[in-house]
Amino acid sequence: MTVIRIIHRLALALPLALGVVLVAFFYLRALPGDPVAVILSQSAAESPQAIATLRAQLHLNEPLLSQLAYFLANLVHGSLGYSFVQHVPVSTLIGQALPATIELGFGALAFAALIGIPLGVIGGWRRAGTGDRIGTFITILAVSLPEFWLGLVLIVVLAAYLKWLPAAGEIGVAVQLRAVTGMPVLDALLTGNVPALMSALRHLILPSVALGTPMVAVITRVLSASLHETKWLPYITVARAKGLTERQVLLRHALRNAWIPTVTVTGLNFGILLGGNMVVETVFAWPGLGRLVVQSIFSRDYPVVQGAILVYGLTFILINLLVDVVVTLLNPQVTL
Amino acid sequence: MHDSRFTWWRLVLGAFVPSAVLVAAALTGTLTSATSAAGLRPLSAVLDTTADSSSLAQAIAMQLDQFGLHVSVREWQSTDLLTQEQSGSRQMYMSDWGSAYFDPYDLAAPKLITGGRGNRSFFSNKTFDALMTQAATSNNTQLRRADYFKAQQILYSQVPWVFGYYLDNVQVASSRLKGWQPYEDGMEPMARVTPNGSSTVTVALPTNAILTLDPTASYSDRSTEEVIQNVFDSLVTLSPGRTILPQLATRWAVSQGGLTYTFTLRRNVTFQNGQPFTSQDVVFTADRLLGLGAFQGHPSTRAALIDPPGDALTVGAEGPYTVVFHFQKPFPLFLYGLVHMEIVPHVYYQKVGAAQFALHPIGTGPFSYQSGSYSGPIVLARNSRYWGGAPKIAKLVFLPEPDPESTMAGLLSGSIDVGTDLPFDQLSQFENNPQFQVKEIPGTRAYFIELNNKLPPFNNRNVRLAFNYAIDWNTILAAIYGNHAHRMATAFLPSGFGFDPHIHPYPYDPAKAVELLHAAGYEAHVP
Repeated sequence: MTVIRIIHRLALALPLALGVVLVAFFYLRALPGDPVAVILSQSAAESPQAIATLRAQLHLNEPLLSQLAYFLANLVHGSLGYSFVQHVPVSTLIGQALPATIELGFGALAFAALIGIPLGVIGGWRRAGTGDRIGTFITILAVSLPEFWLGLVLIVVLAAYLKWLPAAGEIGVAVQLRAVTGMPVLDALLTGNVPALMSALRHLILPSVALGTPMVAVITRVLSASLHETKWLPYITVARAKGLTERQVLLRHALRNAWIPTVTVTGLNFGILLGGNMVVETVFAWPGLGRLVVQSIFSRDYPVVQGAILVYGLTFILINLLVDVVVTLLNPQVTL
Repeated sequence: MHDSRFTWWRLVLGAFVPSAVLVAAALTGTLTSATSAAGLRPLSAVLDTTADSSSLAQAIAMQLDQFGLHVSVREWQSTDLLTQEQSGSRQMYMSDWGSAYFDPYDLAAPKLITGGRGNRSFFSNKTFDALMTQAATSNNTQLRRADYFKAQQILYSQVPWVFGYYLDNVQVASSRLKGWQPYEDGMEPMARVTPNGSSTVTVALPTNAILTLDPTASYSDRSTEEVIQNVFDSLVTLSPGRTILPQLATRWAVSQGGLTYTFTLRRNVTFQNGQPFTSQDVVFTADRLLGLGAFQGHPSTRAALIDPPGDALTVGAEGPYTVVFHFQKPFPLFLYGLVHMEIVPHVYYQKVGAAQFALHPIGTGPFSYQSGSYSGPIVLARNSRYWGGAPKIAKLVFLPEPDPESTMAGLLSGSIDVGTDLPFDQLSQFENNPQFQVKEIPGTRAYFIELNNKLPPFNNRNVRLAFNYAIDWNTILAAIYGNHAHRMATAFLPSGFGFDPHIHPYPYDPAKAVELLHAAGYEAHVP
């Protein structure tokens, strides 16, 4: 039954993703600026003939609807087209950038959970205690620090002066690693390559901290608030009355209900992280989706931006579905 | 419903009447002030810029404000501004233009010849056009220099722009790289570097991503070219003093009249996959650049590097080690363009196709491509069979690192060995540090304020000249770039051919500026 519902949800996702892509298609073309002018500007070939030829080859001289037809026809054949600027398939460019972004997203999520969950539990269970005060201080700090500033400070202190951690890239340049998924940490695990794993993890720490810090605040606040609410519900009183230890009450009963809003909010935030973060990726020389998209928007590389937006749409739909599935597991009363 | 009586015409009246009154008041005010001051009108203009030059534009506008001129800065996205400039609707804009030939052929010519592809000032001068065209198609060095000298005089007197400056290209490297020279067009200095310590060398590229690894693709990007020139060789290359040196060609002969170039190729050179390099590869490469449908159905934008538009260049092989290029019209800068025609292997290229080649390139250069994507670290390995001798560096890594702060941190922590485009105000910490070597080469990009010569107020030469006198470039540039910015007297770079050192940039002269503005009928006062 659940499987059928999941398939149903996935089927509904397709028209939704298509809608997203259509909006992106028309919005991009409504932006001022001409891709041909960008490609040819300052190159020695900016003659009227070259402009006309290039425009014809990119189908930019044709009506919008016929451009849309080319795009959709390609899409049906499973192709996102070619990048105007880099001349390689859009799927190749996204395929190279997406694993880096996913790895960083998981790194940030791990960091946020590692800090946010203990803080949230302490804050929610012992409201207004010392732990809660420290937690509140940390979350306000975490949500107020801009990522670019935090990233640079981390680099300057931990990389440039203390030299504890590397400042840039996904993995040490001297490390040999066979690419399987394109995610260095996962690849190192899959191929059992310990030096590569250590190098990849060390590279992952600083950007994960920079990217995950705002999420620490989100997890802490939501978990703390929902745990605090749960604490006064009758079933907790019952659990206490039947003689369970405080620890058992917290872990088995209270936390289980408090997870639900936390998972929902964290899932949605994770969806945003998977879109790539231009600022963190730029500061840490992380070759992810955020940088690719911003660069493509500036150069009016329509196919790449369209492809990336399609990926965004699908990612969000999948994450939402995943969150719903997890929530049904946590609370059997909820159905898909 | 009482509110429904609030109909659209009330809204229009409410908005329109007060604004109409304001506009009328403003107009009357302008008229009276214009008639009062001896027929002088106030001058107002918008200075357009992109985010990169925004602070410089603000500084310039503030200086002009002190003359009583009303110059406001408008910041644009580069693509939008480009379209606007080309439509001729803007007045003045912060501009820059890079040159690849060390010759006015691709700087002053396209920017200022009537209808030139980069001419966004709409400057038009028949004599200038004739001089530049003659210089571009002549093989007579004396005549070319004389033409360029005359052309500079015309620019100096007609002042199509507010002439600006060029910047030093400053590069910082770890002092463990012995024999390091900054990267210049045509140079692959890493082949000659001896690294102390680790034989892996990491070069930070100031970009989000390189554009391609196929030298015949359409691109115009310095970082991309830097990677490509380490993997590939051209027929000729440039010395740091900008003389043409042999690379894959050992010698060449130019026919009388300069129409035919015959190259003798280096023997016993192999590509990194072991295949021999022959004249077929040169012909194939040239065909890919020149063919109309060669590059995914359109001509490569790099075609014009070796073949100026309108010419019919033919390329042919005479045996395995001789290649002949034949022009219809003389093109004196051909060898400088050839520096950028990196040779691809025709057998491998045709086997894998353009898309695969751009991801897994093979050349004859000192380093071979090993792994990496355009935006990630691009790892090159030593080509131990390199005809010029195996490089000392075993692994050369190019790391696209768009954030200069991170590049500096990488240099300081030792994870990056070479960095460029660092903030000028941060260079001193490297200059005074024995762990680093800082070297500079003259930049080949000119920066200036382009004026629309067809629209008021800049259709008046006096106004254009006045603006050249009214900006105190030396103070502004010293504050931003230290001693790394140099004024230009016209649109000619000192590093390029035909530069006339006797023409000096217009000095900062407020009195003269005011006098010229008054002559043009505009209000102004000495600050």
